[in-house]
Amino acid sequence: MTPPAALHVVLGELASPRALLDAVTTLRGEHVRQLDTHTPYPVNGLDEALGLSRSTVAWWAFAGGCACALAGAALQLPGTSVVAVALLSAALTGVVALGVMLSGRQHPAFAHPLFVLSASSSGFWVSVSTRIAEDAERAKTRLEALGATNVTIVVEHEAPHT
Amino acid sequence: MSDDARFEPLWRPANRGSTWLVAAGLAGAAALIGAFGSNQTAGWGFETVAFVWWLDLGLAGTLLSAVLLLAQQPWRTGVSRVAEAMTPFALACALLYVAAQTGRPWLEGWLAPWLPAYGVASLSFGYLGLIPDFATLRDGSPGARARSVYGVLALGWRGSARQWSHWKVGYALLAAVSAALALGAQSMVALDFAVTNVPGWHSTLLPLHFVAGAVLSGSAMVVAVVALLPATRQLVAPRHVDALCKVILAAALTVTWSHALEHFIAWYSGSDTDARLYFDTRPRGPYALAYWAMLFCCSVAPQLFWSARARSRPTVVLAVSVLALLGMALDRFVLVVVSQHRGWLPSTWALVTPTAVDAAMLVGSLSFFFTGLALLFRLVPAVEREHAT
Repeated sequence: MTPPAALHVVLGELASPRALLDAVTTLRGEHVRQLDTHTPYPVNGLDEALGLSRSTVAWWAFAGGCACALAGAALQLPGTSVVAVALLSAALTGVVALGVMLSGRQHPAFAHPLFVLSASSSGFWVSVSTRIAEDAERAKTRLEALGATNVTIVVEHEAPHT
Repeated sequence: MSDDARFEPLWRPANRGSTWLVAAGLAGAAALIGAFGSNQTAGWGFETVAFVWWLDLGLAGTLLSAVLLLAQQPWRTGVSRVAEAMTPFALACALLYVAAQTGRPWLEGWLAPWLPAYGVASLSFGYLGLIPDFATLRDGSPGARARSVYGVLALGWRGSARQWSHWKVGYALLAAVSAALALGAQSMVALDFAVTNVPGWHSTLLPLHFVAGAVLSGSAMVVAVVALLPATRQLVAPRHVDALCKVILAAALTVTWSHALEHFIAWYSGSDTDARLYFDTRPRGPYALAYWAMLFCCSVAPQLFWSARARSRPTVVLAVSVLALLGMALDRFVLVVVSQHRGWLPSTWALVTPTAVDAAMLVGSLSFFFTGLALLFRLVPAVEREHAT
């Protein structure tokens, strides 16, 4: 069986959250797929610009809280303590919320090429992922045209190169 | 099996080692008799006062941070980390006092079932807020070992849009859960007092009084930590301290109103017992000094924060905060000890005086609290990053 082609991630740094938002909107308008951003804090409007669906963490937490309340009630039958069950349920709602949030897509991961970039401290990065090397080169050119600096192509299992 | 065989283990003589162990245990217990200042009249003595005071700090820290997050207050980032970090150390101190007073610490889960629930929720809330900061430390650490440790703690955080989307919902959810648990836990402790028939405790006003008092002492402790620890002193902006001073003022006014209301109820109800407690025993009894000092520290001193000039002077802010902390400790003392020391039978009346063990435990717990915070802020940033654009 032929192994899949290596994943190419094209990264470019924008000067500000506004510039990042504009770049994402432009790229989405050009039907660029596998688009993502990496920022040191949540930028208002990015979810909509990227077309992300609403987070389902709250629903999972609600379901976890209900399940835990039922389990707690069952444990204490016949003399169920409403207060104890409510507290247990509330605490486990929080734990489920944390667990679901952390088990989301590609999270957690303990090694990633992006860890060497400034996305966690000060940079506003946009990334385009593709398994076609030519598309990666085209994306690099497009990002540079949109004003991105430090444009880098990260290939899976290889060191980043600019 | 014969009866002799069944009873044989009971008659077997103890070996020398276990005899010495039992003797040492009995000697230790004998040495501790009278170690605390509490007595038969006031069974809940200084340990309960300190327990409630530390619990205020443990609950108020996360409550303050969570409520400010839910209210979307932009200045919260300056003080939220300090407030959240207070929680585990203050709760540890509170647990120490429970264990010391009640004994049999393995049964504390029954005594306070809300404590582990609150601990899990508040620690999850604090940790979630730390994940982006751990990622920054991972990417910026010069040493490989620090990068590895912070890398594990950051759980692969890359700041992607999807991660932030999940994070925002999870953080708000945990804030809501933690705030609800803090309010519930504080009210439950207040109701532990309120369900008794002890004058001064038997009041439905106590849950509100406890929550307001917790916010007062929690805000004051945040200011004290910010002012005293070098890791935070340089990082927290004056406008953040200014906002915190306004929270202290609002909480102090609520506590003052609560005190005024309980005096009014004592008069309006026509109860001789309540009237004697509120208008004679507390203001003119043997602990009158503690009562008037409490009113000065909790109600009078924070009024300085009406002045913007006073709020901008670090020495004034620190002095008022320390007074507010002292005032809340005295408030708990007046509630716990003064209400008990003159019971229903005059023949049982007795005073409570602190012992050297009481003082040592207070100093030790304060040292543990500040040392823990100082060490923690050597490992994690003392100020949360700005999360708004």
